[in-house]
Amino acid sequence: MTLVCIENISFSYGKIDALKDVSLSLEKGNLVGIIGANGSGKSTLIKCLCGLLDVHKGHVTLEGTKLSSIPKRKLATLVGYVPQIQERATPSTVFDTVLMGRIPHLTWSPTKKDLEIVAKAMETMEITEFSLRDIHELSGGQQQRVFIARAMAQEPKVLCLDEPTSSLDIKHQLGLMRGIRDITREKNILALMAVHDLNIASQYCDSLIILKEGYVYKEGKPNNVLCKENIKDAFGIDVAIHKHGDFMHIVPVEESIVEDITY
Amino acid sequence: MNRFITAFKKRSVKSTKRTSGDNILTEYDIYNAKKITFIALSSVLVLLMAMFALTQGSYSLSLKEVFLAVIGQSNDIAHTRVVWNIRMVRIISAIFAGVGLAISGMIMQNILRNPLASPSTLGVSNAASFGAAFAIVAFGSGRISSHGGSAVTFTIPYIIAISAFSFSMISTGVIILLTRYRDASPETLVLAGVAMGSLFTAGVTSLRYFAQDEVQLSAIIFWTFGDLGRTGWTTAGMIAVASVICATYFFFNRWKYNAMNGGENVARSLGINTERVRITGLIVASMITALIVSFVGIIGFVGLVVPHMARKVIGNDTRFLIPASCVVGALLLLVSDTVARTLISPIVLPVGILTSFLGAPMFIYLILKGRNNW
Ligand SMILES: Nc1ncnc2c1ncn2[C@@H]1O[C@H](COP(=O)(O)OP(=O)(O)OP(=O)(O)O)[C@@H](O)[C@H]1O
Ligand SMILES: [Mg+2]
Repeated sequence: MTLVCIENISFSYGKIDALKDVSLSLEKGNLVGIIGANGSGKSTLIKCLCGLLDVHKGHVTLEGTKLSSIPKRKLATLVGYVPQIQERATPSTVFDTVLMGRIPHLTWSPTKKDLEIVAKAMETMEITEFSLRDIHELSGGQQQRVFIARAMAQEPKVLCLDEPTSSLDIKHQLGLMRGIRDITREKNILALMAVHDLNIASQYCDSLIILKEGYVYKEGKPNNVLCKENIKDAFGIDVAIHKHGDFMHIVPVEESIVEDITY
Repeated sequence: MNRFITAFKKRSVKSTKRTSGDNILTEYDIYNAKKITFIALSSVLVLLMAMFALTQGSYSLSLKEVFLAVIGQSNDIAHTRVVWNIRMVRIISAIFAGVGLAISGMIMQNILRNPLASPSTLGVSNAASFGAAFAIVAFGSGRISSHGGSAVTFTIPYIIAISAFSFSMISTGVIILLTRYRDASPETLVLAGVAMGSLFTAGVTSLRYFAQDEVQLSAIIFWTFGDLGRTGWTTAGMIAVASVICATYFFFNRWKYNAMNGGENVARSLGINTERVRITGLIVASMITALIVSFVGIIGFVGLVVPHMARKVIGNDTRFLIPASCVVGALLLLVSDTVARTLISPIVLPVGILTSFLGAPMFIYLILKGRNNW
């Protein structure tokens, strides 16, 4: 069933067109990866979906309702967001930070259920041991796990993650991908994730969207989308693709990189 | 058998997981209980301090005499006068001016995510004092009354307060405009505030030349260093009511401020209209600052120092930080004022001098610490 429908949206920052006529239809229970070169519009697409940016043309609908007509607070119970770059934040303990995710659901103070949801999200992200430590005293990857836990605590129908794996160690990268995929199945929600690691993306995502200069260049199952030609077009590099049963392994071919650099 | 073992293992894994979840919840409860204890203990301290302050002053009274006078059972009418008309008014003013200044500083720091923000560092207090002095010169709304030596009371306090608020909105407006530039750093904001502060101080100084008589002149001079001896029951009452209303307003919005702690985009993704929360928060904070400044003058740095003191114990969870700042603010100003009254008795120092001595080093310390270490 279609949860999010993106119809011909465009967005520009002043003169820079970041998204050009993007149309997508995203379904429940899926983990969808967004890949593309730096500046291809991944973050912008995610922000348009979270209501952080208002699209200039076209519209986004969530379960048939236009995003722009949903009150922001209601929207926050439906869509969770993990930013790519952590902005300046006031010091706060890990627990309190994850508890922020419950704010859109709160009336006067958090109920026992709210607190349990927070504890559950913290367990999933394996951050219980830091519970009362200040987030600024954690490593980059640990912080990132806190922010993901916060978005999980929101219990959204759409979970948007902007490069959540970028500073995680390999174990937590895999753990996160598996965790997010499991959540999409369990709770029948949609997870939308900008990723750079093509191997990880191909292994865990149900479908992939390749963005190129603000256009949707390709979309579909990882196996269909990730071929030499597409990668060459989207990223400008030559790769070799090795298949190991269900998994594929994408390796850059050395010469072309050297060639690119000498341009 | 194997299956049994796996099942057992699974269960034990589950049960440890559960206890770990329960653990962090208990841990969190204890953590919050500590904060509540701190707030409760500080409140008791405020009461004790207030009782002590009632006994202090040039007219010496014992605790028992004070108690009798407070409950109206004293045989000596002079005791009742001293306790009620002079000391009690002053103590009420100290407590609620402390609440108001501390809470506005705390809110400014949290919504701007700027540890250096406060009514005095953002130029709001100075603007308000200019507004108050301006009202005196322009409308002649200030008069010195004869009771209590240097006390100034106001014939039309509302005009002074309104004028103070109007001018404080100039500083607030500039700060709001600056926050629209995403990359305005905490230091930039404070530098702008300091610039506006000195501009308005210069304004106050030049107003002296327009003063029509000595009464106005001394009234203006008094503004530069706040003094709690100027309040009467009306003004003290107004400060109290306004502080309580503002603190309540902030407390009702505590989850919004908590979301703001997470950063601009995070707060917005949590459904907060950050622009609106920032503007309304700054306006309410300026309002209470302007009201206090217009009745007692500039009491600098309370709004800067107190929230940091409270934060050391409480952290940034505004559910607890708001009441804690109120209580610590009340305590700090009450203690400072009592010291100011008794240090070189019978001379009464303006409490603003004392808080500045306390606050200026703290301000420098905060700058040295840098923006990420609150
Ligand atoms: N705040 C902004 N103001 C102006 N231009 C911007 C802004 N943010 C992004 N852009 C531009 O919009 C385009 C798309 O940016 P976006 O952040 O969506 O890329 P991205 O795919 O997320 O890149 P990355 O892989 O580096 O995260 C880029 O050309 C970028 O320079
Ligand atoms: Mg990006």
